[in-house]
Amino acid sequence: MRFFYIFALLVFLSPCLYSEISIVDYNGDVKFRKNTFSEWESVNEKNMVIPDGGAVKTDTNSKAKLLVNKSTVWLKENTALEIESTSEYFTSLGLVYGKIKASSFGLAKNSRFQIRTITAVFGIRGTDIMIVGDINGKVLIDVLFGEVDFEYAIPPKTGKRSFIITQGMYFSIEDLEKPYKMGLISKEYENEILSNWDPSISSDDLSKNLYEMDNRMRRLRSFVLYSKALNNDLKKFIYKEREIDFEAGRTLKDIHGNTVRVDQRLLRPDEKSLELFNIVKRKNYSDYSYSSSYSSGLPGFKYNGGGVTNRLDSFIITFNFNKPLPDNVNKWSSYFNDDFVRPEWITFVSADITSANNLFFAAKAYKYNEQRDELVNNTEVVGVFPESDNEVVLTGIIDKSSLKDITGFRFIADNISSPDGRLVLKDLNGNPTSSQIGNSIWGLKTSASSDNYCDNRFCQMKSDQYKIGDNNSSGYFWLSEEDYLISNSGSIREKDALLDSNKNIGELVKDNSFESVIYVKKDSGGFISDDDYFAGHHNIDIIIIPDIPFYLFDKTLDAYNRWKN
Amino acid sequence: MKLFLFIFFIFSPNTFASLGDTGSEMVAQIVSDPARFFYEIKADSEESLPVSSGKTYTLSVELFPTLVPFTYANASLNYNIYKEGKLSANMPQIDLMIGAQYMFGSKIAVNLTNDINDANFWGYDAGVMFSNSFNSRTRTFYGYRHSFLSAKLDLKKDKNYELLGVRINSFDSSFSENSIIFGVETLKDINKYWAMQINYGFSNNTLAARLSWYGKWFELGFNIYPEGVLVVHPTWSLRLGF
Repeated sequence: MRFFYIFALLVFLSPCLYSEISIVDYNGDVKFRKNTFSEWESVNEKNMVIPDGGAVKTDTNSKAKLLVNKSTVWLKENTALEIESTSEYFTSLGLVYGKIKASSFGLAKNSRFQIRTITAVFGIRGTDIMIVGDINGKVLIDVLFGEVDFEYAIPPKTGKRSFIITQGMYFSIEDLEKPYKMGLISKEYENEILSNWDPSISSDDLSKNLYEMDNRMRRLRSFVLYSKALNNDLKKFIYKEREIDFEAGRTLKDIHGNTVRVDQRLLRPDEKSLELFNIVKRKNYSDYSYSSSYSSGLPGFKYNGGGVTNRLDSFIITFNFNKPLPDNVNKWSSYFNDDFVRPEWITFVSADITSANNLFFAAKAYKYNEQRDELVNNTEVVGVFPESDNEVVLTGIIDKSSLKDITGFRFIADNISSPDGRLVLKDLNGNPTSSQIGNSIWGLKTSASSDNYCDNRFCQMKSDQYKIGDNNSSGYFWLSEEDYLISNSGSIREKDALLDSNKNIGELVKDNSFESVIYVKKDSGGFISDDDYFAGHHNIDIIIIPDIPFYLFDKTLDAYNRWKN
Repeated sequence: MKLFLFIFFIFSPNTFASLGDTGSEMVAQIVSDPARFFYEIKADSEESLPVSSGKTYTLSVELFPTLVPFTYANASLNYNIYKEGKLSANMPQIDLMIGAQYMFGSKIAVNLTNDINDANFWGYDAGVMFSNSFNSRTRTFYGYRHSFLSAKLDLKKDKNYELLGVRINSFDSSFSENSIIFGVETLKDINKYWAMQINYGFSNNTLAARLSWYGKWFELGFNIYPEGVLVVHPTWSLRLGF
């Protein structure tokens, strides 16, 4: 009984294991024979099955297309092909002479599809190939896609007997006594394989595949060109972004030895304004004193703040112009070359913004004076007329939202007729409102001041006395600054070394920063006091990386010279 | 300690030119995100080319700069699980990629010096790659890869180490990235290829471009990390197909 089941199973499975080859299309004089001993007969109908042991041949101007499983074999004219085996797992065809193209897909695991010539056996795996052979043993195979296992039918005296021919390669044996040749497939043969070999194809469709391939190639070239263009754009974007990041982001050490991260951004608050936002972050801000070397041996100013963590300072420059700025940065140069373009006002605001509700700021503002045709920094900037031509400084303790009122030039002196130094918001007509801007004041510079410069280093200690408001009863304060030109490692630049260096201006810009430590001190009988004017607010310690300012300066140099004149 | 720092920076372009501010900035960048810097060195060794036609798997070892000077022992294996066109003409080749890296120099540095308590750098990557033939000599490939790097350095607490003005204490961090890969490979001669590819890491928005030439034994190339500390990495690796 067991043998019966096995027999039945074999009978059941046998159709799955068996496959056949058939002539699905032909053109011209195509002949076949059923076995080695039978006569050649003409093919009279399509889908004719050729049994194992049979053969097919084409005469002049004849073509045929054979199908076995999912694989296809095309025969060109004057070609003879023997059918050796067509089982599911082993298909073997013998090329006697002529030219064939084979395309095999869907081979089961461990199955083999091979084409044998007098010289060699080619095992084909998922591929499009062309084989040309003759009865003298000459053979040429071009592998368009996939790969082919090559094996000599008669092992050579020297060298490998078998190897793999990969796609894009040709392999030829001209003479059995000579070494084989291998190289890249020629364009001519590639086009021939790609052309349509179907026997009944019209001449119009003959090169359809070729056109499709050409189309694909064109698409690939377009893709590559597009990728290159995209890559270039991306590079520009990335490098631009990186440049901006580099300009905008630098990690360095400050004059006090603290590690600092400086981020810089160029913003457009509105269509007529530009804002350079410089934010200075320190994880740890260490204490320092006069005795340290950081003020370069000069008498610096008393710092009363001690060590601080998560310190944040900022420096904001805002320009407002009389005409809208072009959207495209590349047009800025021509924009600034326009004689009718001029700044309406500029503000320079430094602030310790560690506490959002208690920002300590010091600022200067400039306003365009039409009569003088220049930017002025006198009482006109706070709306006090007739103007006193001394320099005006704004300072105070404000909250975060009020910072925009300072940077945006929305302030004016309170009590204009007898200004006591308080700052209030101005309305749209430029008149003072009753809204005071935090605890902010303005001061008018007096003649009391002191300047100390380092001998051979870029640093200075500068201190100026300011009268609060423009009356004599509000008192005085001192605005003091330690200014340094520093390297990225926090050392003060030496003048000689910097001027003698061979670095270009771009390198100098990237290697240097400005550090300014600003204090607002009390007045003590006409001299600077060690005490802070605003209790609990000790200094503003900003670092400005010059990259974007340099870029802007470069863009606006002509205009700057014009405005300066 | 010096040996350890030496292997970090010996091939920095600024080492020989100027150990100045740019170097200091680079060190600061590395110290601020050390795992990312070492990830880029490790990423050089990640194989991201399809298994060549006629081969079943590719084994590659990055010799420069991953092995020398950064002392990452590394190996990558690409295993072909499906050949293009085997079942269907339109189905692409499928390869699996795995790789591992371990910086043995960090342990040597720990043993050679009393300044380092511990140092450990290791990573792995895994992914899948698909490739399609555009014509007989050109293939496009695309894939996905997950990469991970663990970076740990612990210096003696009682000493203050500074390199080019930047203080270094310790770090213990990791960097994980998921990337998609696009590229084109062209056969130039027997066993000679060139390829260009772009890797985009969507976890950390990292971008890398790779240009390489490879043959039967070796692969030469340039890896470009536009936002990296070292933007261009020349690479040389042993790449064997079986």
